[in-house]
Amino acid sequence: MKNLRLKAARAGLDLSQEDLAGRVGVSRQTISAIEKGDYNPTINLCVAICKVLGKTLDELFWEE
Amino acid sequence: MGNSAVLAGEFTGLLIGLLIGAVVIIFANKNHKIKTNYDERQEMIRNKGFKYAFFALFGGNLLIFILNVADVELPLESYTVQFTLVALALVVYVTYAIMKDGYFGLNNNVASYQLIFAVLAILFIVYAVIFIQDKGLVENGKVGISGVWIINAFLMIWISVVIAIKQLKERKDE
Repeated sequence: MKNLRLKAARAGLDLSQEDLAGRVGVSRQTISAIEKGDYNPTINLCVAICKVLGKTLDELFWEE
Repeated sequence: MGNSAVLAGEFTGLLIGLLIGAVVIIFANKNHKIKTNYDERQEMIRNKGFKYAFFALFGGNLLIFILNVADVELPLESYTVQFTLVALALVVYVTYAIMKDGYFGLNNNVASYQLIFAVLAILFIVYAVIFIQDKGLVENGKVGISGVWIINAFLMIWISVVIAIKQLKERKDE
């Protein structure tokens, strides 16, 4: 399932996939894969992304 | 092959190895560290790639075993057969890893690696031509060392082409 909330949160901070990837310490393709729903990140990566975007795990990764 | 030719070959191999090592450390890794860093998804892709390569190698060896049992004589020296199987596993791994973005690490400069593969492809083609001119492709009815150089060249060309295809795909996606 696509993670549109992550994409929206990233766009909200005016960050490109490359920017977010650099801050989190992963490749751009990994961020792209998470947003497309092609890859389920580990909890460590989820937390790292949340910290950079200033969101909680629930806000970005919890499926309603 | 004479002793001096073997020594010259070993020396050339050593020099090429040192040269590639130096280029990788100085130019190909952005942070000038020997170790390549991968993220968690890339590690997963690499592990899957290794698994598929293992199955390719296993399948190839099984096929050779069956051919041996059936007394089928291959027109290849045994070392050429083994090298071909290793090359097959490499092709499987490299293709999968590159297309899934797991081949190059976070600190790798892809353009530098492309250059290295292109230079190696040219070098191996030259070696293949030299060996074919010197010994011919077939020795005693079997493809020998010349075949190994052809496979080497094919490998480098294959990797270069897969990288180019992946980059074109990336540009389209962006």
